[in-house]
Amino acid sequence: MTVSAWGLSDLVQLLVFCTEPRRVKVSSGDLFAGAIEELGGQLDRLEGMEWIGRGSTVEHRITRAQRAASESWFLDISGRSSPVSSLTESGRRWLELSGSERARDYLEPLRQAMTEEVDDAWGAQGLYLTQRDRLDAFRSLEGAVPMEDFFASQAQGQNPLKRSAERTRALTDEACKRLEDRWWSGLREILVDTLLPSGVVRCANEGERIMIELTPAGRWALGLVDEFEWDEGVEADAFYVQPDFEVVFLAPSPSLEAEVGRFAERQGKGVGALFRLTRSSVQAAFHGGLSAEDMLSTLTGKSSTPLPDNVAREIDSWCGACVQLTWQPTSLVRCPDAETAARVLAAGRGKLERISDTVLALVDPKKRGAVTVACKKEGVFLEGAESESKRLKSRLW
Amino acid sequence: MPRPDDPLIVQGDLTVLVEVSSPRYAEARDRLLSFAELVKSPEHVHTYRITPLSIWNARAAGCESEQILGTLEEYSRYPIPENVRAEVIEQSSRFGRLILDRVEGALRLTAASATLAEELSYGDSLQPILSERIGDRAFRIDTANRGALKQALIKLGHPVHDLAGYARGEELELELRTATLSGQPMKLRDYQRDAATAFHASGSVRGGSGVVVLPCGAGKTIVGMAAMGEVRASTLILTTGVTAVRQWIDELLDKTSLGRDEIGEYTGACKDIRPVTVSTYQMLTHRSTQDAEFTHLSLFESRDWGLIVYDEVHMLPAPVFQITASLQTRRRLGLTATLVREDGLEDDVFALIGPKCADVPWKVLEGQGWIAKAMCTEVRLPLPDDMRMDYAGAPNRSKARIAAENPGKAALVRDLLAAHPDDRALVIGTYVDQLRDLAKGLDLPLITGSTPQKKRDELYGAFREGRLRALVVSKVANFAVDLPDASLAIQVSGSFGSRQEEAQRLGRLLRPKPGENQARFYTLVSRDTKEQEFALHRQLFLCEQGYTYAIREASEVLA
Repeated sequence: MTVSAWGLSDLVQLLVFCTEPRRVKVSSGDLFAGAIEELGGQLDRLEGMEWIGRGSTVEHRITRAQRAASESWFLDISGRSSPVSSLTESGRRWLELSGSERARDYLEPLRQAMTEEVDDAWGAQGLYLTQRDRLDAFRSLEGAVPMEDFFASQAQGQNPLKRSAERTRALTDEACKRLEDRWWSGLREILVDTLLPSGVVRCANEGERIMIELTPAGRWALGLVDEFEWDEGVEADAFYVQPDFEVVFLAPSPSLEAEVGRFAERQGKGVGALFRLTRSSVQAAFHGGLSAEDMLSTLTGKSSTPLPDNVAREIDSWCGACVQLTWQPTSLVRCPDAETAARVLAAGRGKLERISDTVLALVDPKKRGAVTVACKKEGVFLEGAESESKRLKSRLW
Repeated sequence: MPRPDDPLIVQGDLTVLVEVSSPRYAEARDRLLSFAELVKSPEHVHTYRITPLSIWNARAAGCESEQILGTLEEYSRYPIPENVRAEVIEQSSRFGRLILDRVEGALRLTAASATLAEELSYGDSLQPILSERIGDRAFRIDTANRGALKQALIKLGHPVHDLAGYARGEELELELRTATLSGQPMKLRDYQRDAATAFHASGSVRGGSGVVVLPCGAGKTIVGMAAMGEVRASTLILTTGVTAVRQWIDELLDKTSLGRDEIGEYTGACKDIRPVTVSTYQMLTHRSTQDAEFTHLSLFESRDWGLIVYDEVHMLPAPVFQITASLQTRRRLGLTATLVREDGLEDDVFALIGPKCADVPWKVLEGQGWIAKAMCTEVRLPLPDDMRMDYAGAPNRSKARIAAENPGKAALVRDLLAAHPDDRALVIGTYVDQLRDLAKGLDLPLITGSTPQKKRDELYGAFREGRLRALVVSKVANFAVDLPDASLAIQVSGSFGSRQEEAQRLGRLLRPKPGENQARFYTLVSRDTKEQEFALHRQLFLCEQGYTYAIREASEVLA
């Protein structure tokens, strides 16, 4: 199985995931474990890639994607006590790009590194090289070659650390070996951390050996060609909305996924029945500010076939059934019997409302003092209310 | 590269999506049906699932793994996931590894390899069944354990290819008539003939047991009779209720050469055993106390049956499975609209009744005019103002009933009946009080569980003959009641949660109609209530089945 460019697809999946604002940790801005598990299930599986170590774990991949998203201002974190991470307008615009455009944008920093002297502070024994030096080594990759063979030939024959050191002194065998090891591990590191996730290089397991090869996009990123074709299949420009409330994608389309994900429950990734429109997803979106018209217009505009009548009606009906209420603190007066309640109600002169036979509620909290005084005149002492009022006052001052 | 014109998308979880608008849809579907089960068929994209059972069904019908993978490759838009390929090859290879046949009158189970035989010999559930090892790869099996063996092996993931054959049974002269008793021409439809032929397999040991899957209204009873005509042996027919028993008897008299004296009814009212006997699952599972023996199981041994027909096989109760396990020498035919059982015992159906031998999608039959087009409409009406407060304050369990008994429904039923004056109608509900009021208000007869069978038969007869235009019925009419001319149903209340109930209720309308061949199914629902929530389950189910579903306000419908 050939594996490549998961960093790019992880970023896309993360942005699609955050179409619905996601709670993140106050301390680090990272997603919570539940969200990581859910998103992890949607990432491409890296079969046979255990050899790259930590970089293949879901947690590491998500952290890396989060970092990339935040550096590119694709995700924004808002809220202090309960922060949420959500897609920014530029993130949405980026998702709307074609797969090839997204790849180009993602690889642009690497391509720049081939022309600019970006110091990545990497080196050994007082010899420092730029990122370009390490990238340069991969320009010589021709076709699919065994990874270990490639590293060995680079470390022994094309090693800039050795070349540099030999200019000033003769190297002992031990020093030579050290510089070869250093160059070997340096190449491996950039391969694992950058070139494989970004899709510059792809790799495949062939029996016991790992074969690596430059991709067309990689050849472009390394400045070997001026154009490249992005092999990612056909992106959908439409989906089906089925009468059973499923939204089915017959080809992948992150931008459409991001659109629909705002008001539908995700069920899968890639192609298939990716979303289900449910009452709770539609009502949550409605509460979040999307109107029924917004949802219907997204569905109508991007559906391959007319929107089923029952789906349109239900979305309208679900939004229509939403009621927004506000919690309001209130003061209650609990009376020992109905007669006392009637006396207090009369004394309150419209400032109190009957909740039950013996319980009254203060309509306007500002009238607490007036009611207390009025009741006092009737021989009813609202002591708790007075002390509560004092307590509030003392807190205010 | 993706091939956008191809209709299949094969997914790693062994589901297959089929795009209906693809030009290659029909051919892909026909080939897919032989090795995958239809899960749902909403308007645009249908979902099928490949399971071990569906693969074994295919293998039993002679379809090899190369053909399965060939079909997937030929019609798939994207490359087939490797795990799907591996699963098809693996499951496919399991069928035929174990063959049950008969040698000198005794049963012999032969494994494809000594290793497999060894593995089986250590299986806890198999040890009591595998009587004696005969050679490296074979076991002698007691005849009485034939069903139990197949049942146990399928649970272990090893389907048995049963080639042990059947008892002939008492011979029976039976022909299908060329004209019914009433003089209507009688001819098998192609799909009915094909199903009966596939079941019988020219009398060879490769046929003789299996399940025919046909949608409601497609004439499963006629397939049953055609199979009887092929087997020509005494037959025991098991169905779901007394009304269905009578329908079977009427159909047998109407469409076959059998005389009244050759057909017996074995029910609570009458225990008559004849060369063709029709009974119910309830009779067979009846016992006086929970711990007592089943009183009527001896029916299976009361004659030398050559064929047992299991009507609505998806309803087959567990005790009947048990007895069926001991009836493996009899030919067995299952009839059903769906292989999906709500209790998940599909593998028992495969092991004990037999593999699927015919499956025709209802869309095909609708397209050919053999079943009616159904239009489902949910009509929403408000709860009257004076009931809203009662409803709001009611506990959850009462809310559904308050909503269901919305008095506004009575006027709506009357108006809907008036709007479709030429349709023969059923008004269906769950709550007897509500139905009684409706029947009284509309001056229509009412059939409930307490209506005596004789009275029911009279009313059904009058309805069938057109002397009655409408009937008010409770859920007693759900199963196997043949009301050929009902083209309009108005459901005023229901449990809405049961897929079977919905399928059966709609099934009552699907038999072909003269003229536009259109059936209408209205459901009246109180708006913004629990009833509307429950109706959503029903809506989803019917849409998944592919029926057209519309939602209308009462005012729109009447306008």
